Amino acid sequence: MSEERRDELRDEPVVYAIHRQDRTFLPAREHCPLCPTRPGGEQTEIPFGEFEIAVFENRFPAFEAPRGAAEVVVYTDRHDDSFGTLEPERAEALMWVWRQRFQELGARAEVEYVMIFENRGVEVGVTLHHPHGQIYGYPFLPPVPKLELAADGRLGGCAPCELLRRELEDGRRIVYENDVIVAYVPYAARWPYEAHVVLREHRPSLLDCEAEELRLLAAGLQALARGYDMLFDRPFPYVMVVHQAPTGGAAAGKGHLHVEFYPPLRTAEKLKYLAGSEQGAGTFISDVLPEESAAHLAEAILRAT
Amino acid sequence: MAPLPEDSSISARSGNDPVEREQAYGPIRFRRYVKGDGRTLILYTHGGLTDGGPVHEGPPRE
Repeated sequence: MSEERRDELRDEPVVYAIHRQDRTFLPAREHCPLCPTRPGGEQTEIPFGEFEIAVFENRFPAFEAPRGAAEVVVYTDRHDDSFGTLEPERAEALMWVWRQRFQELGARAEVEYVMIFENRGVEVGVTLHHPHGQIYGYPFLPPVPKLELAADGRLGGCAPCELLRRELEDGRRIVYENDVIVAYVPYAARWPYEAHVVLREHRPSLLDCEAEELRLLAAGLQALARGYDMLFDRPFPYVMVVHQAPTGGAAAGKGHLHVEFYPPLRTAEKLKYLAGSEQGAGTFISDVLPEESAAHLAEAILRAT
Repeated sequence: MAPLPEDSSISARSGNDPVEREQAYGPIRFRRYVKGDGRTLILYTHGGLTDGGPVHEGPPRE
């Protein structure tokens, strides 16, 4: 069981999950625990010869009942796929899996915030290469969604709605759009190729989306993921986080569904590190203007289609 | 659409017991299992691409 403490100086929670020190770390392909179980082979996390999408409770959870949840979402039984290369129908189905897990975990009394995310690439700490994401059910409202809700107050309403309006009006940082979502490098991007994928209509969570919205959300996310891979002609590491309304506490239901990508690369070989200013002062210093990175990313997305 | 693994195909000795009937959710369907160590596993399917097929037993991973 994890232990929660509070950093009083920063007014932030810190979670100690010391059992995760022993989790599986970059196993050889033949020992991948997220692959199907082959006849006569060792049993993996999924004891079937094939599957479409699988979700299971994390063997090394950061959170677990009765203080939250930690799940693994395996996108496919094909080891060498990625989110961007999934068939569109599979990516659309994944949106429904996310929706179902958000609904079920969010209904638990102790879960105040459900966060769906994917870490891709060793550069962001991935320990298993098989395409997968994770879901945490936090037993408290974490600092980032708390800050987003505070932004609603400063901007006089839904902050993502207002920021999307500003991005559409400016237009220079938009990298992709369809009838349902707009993807852009934000005006004050912290990472060189950071991108936000925002629903045009105000939707607090996946539960508020129509089927067509989920289909086009998947299409937008995949277009961005494929564009990232095209950008430097290499698998592009990123952290992808689905931001939604809290599911418990006073802020339940308040928010605007959007997906944020935090890629650590600033060039094909160079990483953006969180160093003195970022860690000590909470101030990102970036080497690339968002307008410039957006132009490069938009062109890469076009080439990838 | 191909079915998810039926109850009969998942033996108690495999340590992966289905705990509920298959459910529909929008265009997808899912079935929940309990793994040998007590953790929950959910298999989702859509569009009839595959089913899980028979369970394969093997030495558990360390």
